[in-house]
Formats: sequence, structure tokens, C-alpha cells
Amino acid sequence: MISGGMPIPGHSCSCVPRFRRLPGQAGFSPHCWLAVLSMALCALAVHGRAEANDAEDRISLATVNANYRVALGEIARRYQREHPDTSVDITVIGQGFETWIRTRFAAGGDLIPDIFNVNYVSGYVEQGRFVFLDRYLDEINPYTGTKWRDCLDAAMLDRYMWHQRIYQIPIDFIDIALFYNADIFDELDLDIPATWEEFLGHCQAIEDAGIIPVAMPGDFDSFWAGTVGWLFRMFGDAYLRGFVPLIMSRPGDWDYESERNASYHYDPANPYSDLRVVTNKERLFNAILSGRLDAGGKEFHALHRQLKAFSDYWQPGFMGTNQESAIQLFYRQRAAMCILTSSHVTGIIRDFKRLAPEDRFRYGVFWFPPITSDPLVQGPFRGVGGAGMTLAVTQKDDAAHERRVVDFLMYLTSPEAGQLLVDMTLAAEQPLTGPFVVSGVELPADLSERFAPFEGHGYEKINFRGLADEQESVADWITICQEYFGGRLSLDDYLNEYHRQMVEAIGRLQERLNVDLDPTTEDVPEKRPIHKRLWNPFENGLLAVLVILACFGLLGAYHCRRTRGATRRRTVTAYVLLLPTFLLLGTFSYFPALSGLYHAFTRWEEGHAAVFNGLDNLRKLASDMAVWRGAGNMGILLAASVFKATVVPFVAAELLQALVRRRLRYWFRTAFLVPMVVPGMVGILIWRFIYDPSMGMLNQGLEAVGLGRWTSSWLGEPSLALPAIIFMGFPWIGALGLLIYMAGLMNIPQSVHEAYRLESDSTLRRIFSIDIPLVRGQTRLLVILAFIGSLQDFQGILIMTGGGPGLATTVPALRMYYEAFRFSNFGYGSAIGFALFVVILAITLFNMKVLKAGESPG
Amino acid sequence: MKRGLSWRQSALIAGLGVLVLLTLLPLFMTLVTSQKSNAEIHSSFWSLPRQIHGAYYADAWQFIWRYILNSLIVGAVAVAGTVLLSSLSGYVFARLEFGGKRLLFVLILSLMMVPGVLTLVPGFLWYKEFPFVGGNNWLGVGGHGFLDTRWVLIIPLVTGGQVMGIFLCRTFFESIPKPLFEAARIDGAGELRAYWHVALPLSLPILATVAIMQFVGAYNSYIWPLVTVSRSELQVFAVGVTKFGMEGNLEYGPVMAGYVVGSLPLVAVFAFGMKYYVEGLTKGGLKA
Repeated sequence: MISGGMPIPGHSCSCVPRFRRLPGQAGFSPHCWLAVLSMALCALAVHGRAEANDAEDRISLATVNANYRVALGEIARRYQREHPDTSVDITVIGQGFETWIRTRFAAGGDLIPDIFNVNYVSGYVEQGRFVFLDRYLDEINPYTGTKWRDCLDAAMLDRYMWHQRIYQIPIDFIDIALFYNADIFDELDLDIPATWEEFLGHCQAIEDAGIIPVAMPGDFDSFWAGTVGWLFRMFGDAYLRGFVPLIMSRPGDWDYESERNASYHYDPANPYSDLRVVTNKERLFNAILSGRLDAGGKEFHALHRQLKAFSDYWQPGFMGTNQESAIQLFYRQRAAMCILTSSHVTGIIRDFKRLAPEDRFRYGVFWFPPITSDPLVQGPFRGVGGAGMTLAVTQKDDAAHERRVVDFLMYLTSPEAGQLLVDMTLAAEQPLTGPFVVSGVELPADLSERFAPFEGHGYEKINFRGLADEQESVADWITICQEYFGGRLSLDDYLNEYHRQMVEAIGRLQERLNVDLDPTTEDVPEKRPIHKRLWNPFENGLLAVLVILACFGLLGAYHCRRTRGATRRRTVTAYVLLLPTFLLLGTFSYFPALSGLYHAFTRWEEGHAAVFNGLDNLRKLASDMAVWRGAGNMGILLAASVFKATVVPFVAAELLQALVRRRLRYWFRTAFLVPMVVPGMVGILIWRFIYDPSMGMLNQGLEAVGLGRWTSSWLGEPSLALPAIIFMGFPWIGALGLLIYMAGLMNIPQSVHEAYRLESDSTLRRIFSIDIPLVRGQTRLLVILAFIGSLQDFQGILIMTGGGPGLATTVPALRMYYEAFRFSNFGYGSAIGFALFVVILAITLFNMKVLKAGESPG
Repeated sequence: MKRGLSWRQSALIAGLGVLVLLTLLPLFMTLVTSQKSNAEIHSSFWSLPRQIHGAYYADAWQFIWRYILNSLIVGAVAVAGTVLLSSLSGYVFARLEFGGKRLLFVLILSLMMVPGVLTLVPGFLWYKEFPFVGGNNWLGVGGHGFLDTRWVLIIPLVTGGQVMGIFLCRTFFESIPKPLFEAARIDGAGELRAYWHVALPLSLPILATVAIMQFVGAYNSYIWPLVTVSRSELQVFAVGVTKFGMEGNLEYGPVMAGYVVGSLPLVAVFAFGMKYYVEGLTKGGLKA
């Protein structure tokens, strides 16, 4: 999804709530994985179909929507009853759906499902992997007796086209709205606000009553897939939709459609006026490059000011809250409102069943009231939702099979099947995604009423989160946006940087996707074969390994020739016995290290051979704000880690040493070593739980001792996040330091201590003038290890904060990881690794030459 | 005088007790929380669980056993490979005199200066573009190389682990009295037999150290499996455990139970070999 095809308009994850995603994973799986993930051919062949099947044809449907599991099974059963010659397999993959689909596509053939949830996996329509359904839409749907098109929602079909052709059928609809606690509203005598200004007044009243007005998820993932991200799109559209005429296709453009664009007049009063308008990406890019559409402009200013004002009413530290915790705040009545998707309308009913009756509350739903006081607002807020499940038919070059698959899809979109989907899903106590967009489906009355606020607001047409969904620009934007919301970047600086990032992103799109900025031509990403230069050992690894091994062989041969008899035999034996070790080292240690040194000076991207680019990477490094902020954080973390690695274990060791009873000393020592049995990752996850704002041990502890007002969202406040990272592992008595110091102190001869006692009786003075100098070697060792270790370590930060909020806890090693594995900038990633290597090398050499030389001999 | 001393001792014990308490509290609370429902965690965080939820451990096991098994497989193979190569090469460096020995040993030691950050990115691409493996041609194009196999996890562990292993084994073998080997040689044993019959049996303690260090390292490694393995059937515990609780309605109890279950392999290892690990830690400190 990263450097791959430009996402299809209105497509993919931006429209789909994927709240429970893995940190740092699914949403940003680097493009390289697509190729990589796939190849498990052998395993899949075994994994494939095993059971015998009598039916003539088999239709397979795969979906991520686990809530429909039961209903889809029943629909398949009924369909098979009517068509005994066809069998229908339903596969529900809750987690890892995208990966699953990609492995299936890689395996090919029958393993590719005939129908699947296409809105979760991008990139295949460009490859022509789907059947265009336009010709089937005008056929009669045998299950309704009318044209198939008439069973479906025309506006939604329109939204999900690719190059003006239909390949996916939307089944249901999802959007966001404000959920409110009706008990709190009644208590404070508030009613549903008619304008945004009135709404903010309500928020103030709620805050004055000591309740969080709005629970908002604000961590990195939520800015992309969570409701705060949807909020940005909604505000973007409200302020920016006036730019639609600027970026829509014009006569002569490759994607111009007179029927759609010629009749369009900009009409802010009609939320649907631009529904069918075709916009052109390159016109958008040109508008940005020419400055006609400027992130530094007044619209962007106004929309961010408006959002920032709103954010004052979100819970403190919202940038450390994920979607799940935000909902918890609302459920536990600590927040009066929460922005949730339509799937929560039924989700809440289920979740409330688990709450004690006295913990339940009445709730209602309302749509975002319009901003009335700002002339820059183009009109009322429009919907940002879309289909929750859209199904596409994969191309299999078998006309008869394709017809049967489409026939099943027609059945699935008939009122009968649609009704089954609703009724059985509700009966199974699963959430409904939202209103259905298949006609003829009846919802229970109370549900229709709750779904009503979600409908009829039109659809957003223009918004910015990064640029054109290009993932690197999205991630860059989220970072600076969090910096702005955390008060660490002024609005002007933020927007200027935003503009710069968009321009940078256009450059990347030009390079990687062949975008030529000429709206009259359609740009197709070229699939260039990788050309490796055979003579270059860094591109031809085989050559490199052969050279390294040849050196080993030559060294052996040279020494064999110089010797005779038994000595020669011994030499031969030695080289033969060392061969396995050097075979492995040469291939898997020396080569990657040398390759890293070389590739730090290349542009190296997924799917391309590396290109030597001199000092470009280092120049970029020198001006990379994220790396420099990371270096600053690194400095603080280094200082802290040296303290944690030396002072704390030294004190603990002295305390243990001072114990008179040896057994006691042994038990205490063992107790301090116990945390070693906890796997490192579990230790990190436990600390993440300790910091959890609603359930965490730290807040619970503070409340238990009456310091409730000190509780906080530890990882969500920009100023607290880094200290919280440092505080992890408190009281920091590391096994290594403790053991080394204990051994060191034990080695100090008793006589030395006794001799000093003649001079002074003070233990403290003894420690300073005898112990500390005598364990200087150990201290130096621990300092070096702490330096080298914490310069490289980023897994804790990756799990705890992902480097956020904004850049508050980022470090250079983490940037390296992101550049390489999220954005496929392997060359630049190598350059960051190279820079860190140089620092580590310098420290090590300094230690060896200067510090050792300064030490007294012996 | 005596009373004062005991007062100081009890203050000392109290201080150390607080430190131990703080160190162990998170672990203890993890155990406690693994038996609580969300509502219970929220309402009475600090109290002991009201009832025992055996089902939480069953849920956790269901989710986590595959990852633990994968970690154990990878760890076991990596330990076997590392122990074999470390002792063999350590033996050669300790007992054989041959030209180029110093140079080769320095070459091995110099690898300790190569930090993981330098090799993470190029290493990843090298395993991916490894010639003739996983559908790649001789230039490393066309397939996925070692990615998404167990080898991509095992090979770097053995390769990297043997460096420290060779160092430890060499020092150890040098300390074995020479006459033992000479006796073997007089009996007509070749180097390989002397290694197998004399050196190996004597070196079990140091090999245990190497093995345990290696196993703990393998079990804890996170970033490398995260980037090189995407199939969840092959994924290891450290990565798998981070996915626990991300899916579906979140109950913290089973998640905590998963943490506890996942720690058991290390508990077992340390119960048997804490002594060796401690030795490895202190000796390995010489690394810098």
C-alpha cells in the first residue's frame, strides 16, 4: 500500500473502520511485503482444498466482516438448495485478511476467492484482476425480476468506480456521528445542538460539570483509520470543497467525462452537487505546485483553528488514546460524548448487556451540527463514510463460472438475502455495520431511527491527510499534525511544513508511479525489471560471497604452502574445521555489514536496483527534522540509560554487600534477578498496561493513595511521553549491572577496607574513595554497553508510542525502521544505520584509546 | 555499638525490601490481573481476584501456543547449531597452531563492533534476495528468498551467536590442561576425535552457558522476526504476543494470562540454568 499503485479514489482503508489494528503493522505494511508475503506456495497447496466435492461448480467468498459469519452461511445454504449443482464456500478471516488475500493471489488459480471484500486490499484492480460488472448491472436480476442495478444504491455504486467502470458492489454503509450520553445531557439540561457554536457551548457546560465532553482516539493509527481521522476529512471537506472546480477534469483530460463534469455547477447548498464529478489527480498536484491550493492558505488555517478549538474539549492526552480506550471512556460515563461509527449503534446494545444494569445509560446519536460563524465554511458537514463491505468478482477466464458467481452475487443483493443478513446478524448479537444499501431490506424500527442521523448528508469530495493517500505523506502529516495539536509546532510552521511535505510527496509520485503532471495523459506505473550490474558485488551478492570465501581459501592455501609435514596437516585441519564458521560469517555477517556501508550512499527502493547517489542521503539526514528531534530525544535517553545502568545497580550492590547475613544477601539478589524470566516483549507490554490511562496500574495506584488529580494519559501527553519511556522498568535494577558490581565489590580485598577504616569511620566516604575508584573498570564497561545498547534499541518505543505523539519520543533508530520497513526507502534507512554505526564506532574507539590509556596500569 | 549495627541492618533490609517490592510488583499484578474480568480490574484493581477464571488461561493458550512452539523450535535449532560451531571453532583456535590464526580470530572479534542497526536493513534485503532460494534466480530476483521461512530466523541466530560462543569456548579450552589432549594424541586420535571425546565432555558447563544465552536471546528477539516473517503460522512468541488482545472485544484477563504462559519457557530455562546464564552475562561483559 505504500509505494504501490495510487489508491483508487474513494477506495480502501480510508473508508473502512479498522479500529483494532496492530501497532505499526497492518495499515502500513510496506509494499515490499506484498511480493514477499505471497510466496508460500507449497504450504498453501497443502492448505488448499482437501475435501472432495460433488458439486459441479464451486463459488468461494472471502470476507473480513466476521459479524456476517452466521448470516452468510445461511445465505450460502439457501442458495445451494436452489442450485444443487453449485456449492458456496464462505471464508471469514477476521485478522490478517489482507495478508491472506495476497498469499492467495500469489498462489493463483482456484485459491483466489471468487468474491471478496475488496475494500480491504488495494492494488489489484490496476492489474485487471476483477470482472467489470457494468454489463451485468443492466441484466435482470432473476431473484427480483428487475434490473440488477435497481437493487443497488446508485450513489454508492458511483462512489466506488475505477476509471468510470464498476467492479465492486457495496452492501452496507458506515459513517460516523456523535453519540451522546442522554442521562448526562438531561442532567445538565442540554438538548441536541443546532449549530457548531451551540455544540461547543454544550461542551463547555459539560466540562464545567467535571465531565470530559468528548472522548477522542488520537494515537497514530487513529489519525488514519480511527474516528479522529474521519473528523479531519469531514472538516477538510467543509472548508475545502470550493476547490473542486479547480481540480476537476476538463475537456481533453484523459479521464474527462462530459456527462459527469459538464453539467456540474458549484453549489454549496446541495451536498450532492459534486457527487458525480470526476476530479483529476494531476490537476490537484499542479494546483499545489503552483500555490493555488496552498496548505498555508486561509482555508487550511481556519479549519485547523476550528479543530484545535474543538480539541480543547477532548480528554487530556488524547494522543495516547486508541479507539478502544476512547469507547471505554464513553461507556464508563467519564465522557459525555464520543464519535463512533454506525456499527456501534448495535455494538453498544451488545456491550451494554455485559455491564451491570446500574452502569448502563441511555444514549442517542446526532449528526455534526453545521458551523455558522465562519464565512470560510462552504456548507454543512457532509458524510465521510462509505461502504463497510464491498464485494468484487475476480477474473478467472471462465465465462460459465463467472456467470454463476455473478448469479450468486445477484442473489446476495436480493431483498431476501439482504433481509437474512440483517435478521440473522442481529439474532446472533453481532453488530450491523450500518444502514443497508441494498434495496428492500427492512430494519427494526428503533434501529432505523438510530441509523437516521447517519444518512442524507452527501459525501465528502476533497480532503487532505497527507497527499493522495500516499502512505509516506500520510505518516509525515500525522506526525506534524500531532506536533501541532501537542502545542509543539505553531500553526504557521505546521502548515508550511505540511505544504513542503505535499510537494515532496508529488516528487515521489512522479518518480515511483510515473506521474507526469500532464492531466491529458493517463499515467501507468511502469513495471521495470530490476537490472543488477553483475560486476558490482553489492548488487550481485553471489559474487561478493564468493570473493569473501575466496579470501578465506587463499589465506589457507598460502599458509599450507609455507609449511610441511605435520604442521601442514594441522593447518589443513584447522582451515577445514573453521570452514563452517567462516562460511556463515562470510555470507551472513560480513556481507550485510559491507552492504550496509555501501548502500548508505545509494537510492535503494523496493523493486529497483540501488543507484549510487553520493552524499544525497547524508544531506537529507542533515536536514531531516524527525532525525534531529530523534537525536535530541536520544541524548536524553542516553543520559538516563547511563544513570540506570550504573548508579542504580551500584547502589543496590552496595546495599546487598552491606548485608551481614549471607543468606539474606543471596535471597535479595535472587529476587532482583527474577524479572529476567519475563520475556523482554512481555516486560514492555506490561509497562504499556501500567501506563494505560483508564485501567493502568500507575493511575490506579495514584488514585488509591489519594493522588487522583495526578493521574494522566502518560504516553499521550507530549511532555510526559519521554519521561514515561524513561521511567519504564523502575526501579531499574538490571541483572547485568547488579551482578557485575557485586562481583567487582567482592573482589576488593578485605584488607583494603580494613586499612581505610583506620582513616575514617564513614561508610559513605569509604564508598567514594575506595569502592567507586576500584570498580571504575566495571563502570566503564556498563557505560559503554548502555550507550551502544540504547543507541540501537527502539523496540520498546515502537510498542509503547511508535515515536509519538508527533515526534515526542522518536529516536534515530526508529526513524531508520520506519524509513526502511514502512516506506521502503532502504537506501535512506541504511544511511541512518550508517550514521548510528559511526557514532557507536567513535564511542568504542574513544573508550579503547583514550579511557584505557588514561587508566593506571594494572 | 551492637544495637546500632542491627538498627542499621534492619533499615538496610527495609530499604532493599522496598526495592524488591517495586521490582516485583508489576509481575505480581500481572499474575493477579490474569484472573480478573475487566469490570473487576476497574472496580477493585488492588484486591485479589474474587474467583478463579481457568478459562482465561485456556483462551490464552489457544491463542499463544503456536507462537511459543515456533519460538521453541527456532530456539532449539539455533542453540544446537551455535553450540556445535562455537565449540568446534573455539577448539581450533585454542588448541591448534596454524598460520593466519591471529588474523582470523581478530576478524571474528571485529564482528562484535558491527552493531545491529547497521545490518538490519541490508541484512533484510540480503535474506530476501538470496540467490537460488525461495524462487530467486542467481541474482536474487524473482522470489522471496529466505523470508517467511524458519531459516531466516535460525541462520542469523547461529551466525551471530557463534561469535560470542567461539570467544567463550576458546578461553575455556585454553584453560584445560594440555596433557589431557596430548594423551589422546598419543593414543592416535585425530583432531576431530580429540575434540569430540576429550574437549566436548569437559566443556559442558561453558556450552550450557552458550546454549542458555543463545536460547534467551532467541526467545526475546522481536524486530527481526517482525520484519522477516509475515505468516502467522511461523511467527514467534515475541511478535505474536503483541497481537494478543488487538482483535475483538478486549478483556485484559486472558491477555495477562498469555503473558504468564509465554514466560514459562524462560522460567523453565532459568530454573535449570540461572547459574550458567549469570556466568555468561558477566563473562560476556568482556565483549566491549
